[in-house]
Amino acid sequence: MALADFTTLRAKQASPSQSVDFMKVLGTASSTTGVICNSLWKATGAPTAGGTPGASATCDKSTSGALPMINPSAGELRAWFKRLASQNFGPCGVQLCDRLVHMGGLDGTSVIAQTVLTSALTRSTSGAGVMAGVEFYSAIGTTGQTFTCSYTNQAGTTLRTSQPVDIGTNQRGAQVNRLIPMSLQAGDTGVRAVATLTLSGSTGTAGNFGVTLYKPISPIIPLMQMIGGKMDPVLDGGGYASLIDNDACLFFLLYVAGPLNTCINIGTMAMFED
Amino acid sequence: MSAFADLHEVVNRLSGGNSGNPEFLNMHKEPRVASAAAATPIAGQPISLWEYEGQPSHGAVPGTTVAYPDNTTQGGWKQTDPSGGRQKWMTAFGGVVGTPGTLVLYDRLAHISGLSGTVTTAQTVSASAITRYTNGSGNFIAYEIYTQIGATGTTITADYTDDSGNSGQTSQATTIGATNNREAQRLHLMSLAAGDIGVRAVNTVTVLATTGTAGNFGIIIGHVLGMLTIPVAAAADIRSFMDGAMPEILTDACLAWYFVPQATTAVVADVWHVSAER
Repeated sequence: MALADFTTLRAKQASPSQSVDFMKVLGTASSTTGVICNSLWKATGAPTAGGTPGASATCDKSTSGALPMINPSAGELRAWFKRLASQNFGPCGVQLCDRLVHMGGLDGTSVIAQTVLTSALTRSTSGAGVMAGVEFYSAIGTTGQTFTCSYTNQAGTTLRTSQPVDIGTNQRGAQVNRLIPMSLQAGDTGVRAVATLTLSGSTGTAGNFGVTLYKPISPIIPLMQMIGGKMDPVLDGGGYASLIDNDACLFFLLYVAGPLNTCINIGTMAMFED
Repeated sequence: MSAFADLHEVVNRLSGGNSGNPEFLNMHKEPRVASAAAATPIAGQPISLWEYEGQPSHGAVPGTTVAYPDNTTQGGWKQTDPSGGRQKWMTAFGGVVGTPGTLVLYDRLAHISGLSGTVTTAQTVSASAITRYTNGSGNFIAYEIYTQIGATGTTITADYTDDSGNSGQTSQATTIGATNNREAQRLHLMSLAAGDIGVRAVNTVTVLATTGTAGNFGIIIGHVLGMLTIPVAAAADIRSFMDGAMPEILTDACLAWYFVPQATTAVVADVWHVSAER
């Protein structure tokens, strides 16, 4: 149900139905250039670090590691960053996402088509706006290679082949928590499923990585180190308060460049029903 | 119709009221073109992200006959058209890039490729039928390089129709060729003739002297919708239009990006926008 007007929005923000404090600690000292997306799924803190997935599994609000949320009793649930701060050494961006499906156990030395077989989506089932990325749970090698995936696109067409994306080199995998989005085959806009992943060669270390299907649901919030931020739906978000699907498995992406020395992201996610 | 009457209406339509049909879209760009590493950025030299791979998928090199991209064109953001006689308005957009610079969001109105860096006679463009911003005001001309041209620096001019409908206008000479102006993915705005504020059509372009290598470059006509500034790597930026002029996303708009880097670091970008109909 839509918000009637600005007055209604402000009233709901003044008395959110849910308000969840979080603090995610991500710390790996290394240098990086260019690659900036990190998943905070396994970052310690509150909520607790998510588990390392094995075989493919759907994720929902009950999945350990998800930001707590309660389905709305009626209507829709919307969220905004009521408070946000980062103790990263430099500027960064934070984005709220819905973690739809994940899997792990892929090998950074295998050059065959590795089985991914993501579970069927239970949210965003059309695949529209759904992104797929490789996420690292233990470091793979530093020999630069590329990865491609066989996937099903937003139209349900199977056996699509993603464009090769760098992996291994430039901290793309030697650092746990990196998330590298997949590049789609020409013409595609989304992903319903990923079947296999193939490396162009061995990165040198098996490590452990996997494929995650996720949907960004908030803008990317700018933060400067030690300077607080927020994301007011009106002042900062163009009047848009992020829509949260029922049962969403909420987690964060952190966009940052340069050495990561114990990056702490702390804040409050507030939600209301409309 | 016009833009939103007031803040109350913005909030209502952005939450789906009154057929607002809000849309929140994301885009990711990787520094890879045609399954290989993109050309190395050069500080101060604009890069077209049209061919950059990612999600939604990358754009193709345009054909050798002019085409008029729309919201179904591969490489654009592929947003939904407004319906029911309504207009679509962008209320905010933002993003983050792994290297400092300026991200420019534009509507790609026309494009063509197949032009040669060694031909010194007038090369046909014939972009005469743009379907958006047809009065030309605020439209720009740029050349875009798809395959590296030569190492000899020279200049290029365009024969175009300006925003007043005057044909046969000649743009001011713009550098082309040689290091920094010959590499693939370079995009270079072309200065219009004195007094002109826009472009309705481009007839031909002429390279003054051979660059030494034919390569492949093209011409685009575009219309800027907004910019993001990334002062340092990973410094995200947001442009919220609650303070006034919301850009309209015209029906069939082909939303695309170019980037002006401050460094030579490969460009990885993540961007988003939110819109609603009125």
